[in-house]
Amino acid sequence: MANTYCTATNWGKDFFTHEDRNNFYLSGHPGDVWVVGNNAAGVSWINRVTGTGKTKAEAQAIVDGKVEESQATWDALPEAEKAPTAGFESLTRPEKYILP
Amino acid sequence: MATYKGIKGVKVETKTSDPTASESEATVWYNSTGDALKYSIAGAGTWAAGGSSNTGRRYMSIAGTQTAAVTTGGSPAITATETYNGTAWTDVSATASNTHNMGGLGTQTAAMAVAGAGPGVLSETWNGTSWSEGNDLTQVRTMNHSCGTTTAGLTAGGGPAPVVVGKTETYNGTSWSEQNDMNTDREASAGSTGVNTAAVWVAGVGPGPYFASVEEWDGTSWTEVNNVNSARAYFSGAGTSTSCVVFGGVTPGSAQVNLVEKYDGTSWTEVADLATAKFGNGGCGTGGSALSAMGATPTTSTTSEEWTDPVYTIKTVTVS
Repeated sequence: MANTYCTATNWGKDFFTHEDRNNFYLSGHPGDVWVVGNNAAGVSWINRVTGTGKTKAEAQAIVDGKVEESQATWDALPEAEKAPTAGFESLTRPEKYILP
Repeated sequence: MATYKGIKGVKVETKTSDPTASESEATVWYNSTGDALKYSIAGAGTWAAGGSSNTGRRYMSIAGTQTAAVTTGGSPAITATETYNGTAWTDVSATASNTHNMGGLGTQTAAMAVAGAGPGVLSETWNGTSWSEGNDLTQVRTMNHSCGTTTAGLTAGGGPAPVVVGKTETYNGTSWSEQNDMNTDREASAGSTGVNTAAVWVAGVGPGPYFASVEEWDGTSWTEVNNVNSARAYFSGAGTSTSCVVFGGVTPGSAQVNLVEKYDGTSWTEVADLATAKFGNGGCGTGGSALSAMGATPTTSTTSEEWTDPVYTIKTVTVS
């Protein structure tokens, strides 16, 4: 398995370091979900940040839930704010996506 | 047996502790405490976590460096100001009239918030303690990128759509004056944060899909140069016209991205991604030491990331 999954709250400075980024794959997602390269350095990072391990399905469900919240926020916007200016590309309604 | 001196013509220096990795690049030393032969190399740039702000923001004004920045405003209609010391953000008891979608320029102790939502012509100056209103810009604009200093500033482009402009104005410390227009009207661009006589303006949006086009300013006029690899808007950048890095944003048909590109004055190269994809993030610093602050995931975020390029690493020579 190339990646492993966890939730962890980004406390700020040094939550992940340059060395971490060089040693394993790392990407952050809504809901404090982190996709972490499945090697010794990645596992060590999860322990360091007191991450809570998740299956991919569990992690995906958390992200989906957060995206749904964002969709609800988007849907509640006034139509004039959501509607793209004619002829212009604009921000679009948040869409669900598959975690790597 | 071959010796290092025999091969290189110099003796290996003995140190009781390692020097900093950046100071010791391309040198070899013997660490007598750890009984190890070591060397330092410069690796590719990467992003590390920076401090988290007290207020989540997107589309705010930001200025300064990776270790000394100031931000104000941001959507939705935030007026609070925070400063960053390279580790943590601190609320400062000052608010600006400008709220969001404005340009930012200058340093942590001498910054400007330029135009943005509201009247769209306000320019406010930060002296390290408080904001004061200065002379208005000529052109109403929002989502405009800015660079330079409080005595030599530059802003160009801006919306709001459908009235996107390529109007350019420079600031001399007192007033704004109109200069030659950009070749392409655009808003939601980003680019260099350095001097106002040599700047690079990247991508953005106008009529049609997001742009990949890039223009350079030489103090007098704009010239089209090589495109970025990924068309994008609502992103940020830092650096100069010869060493610039741009990060995040939205790309055609997709939500926020973590894509990063750097510019060497001629061409754009894709480099290490942000850990978290964002749009509406703020950027300041240099091409080798930048800060990507806050933004939206699409939820408005308090987190920041710090770009360092190159990243120096100390290695130990092993026998294998």
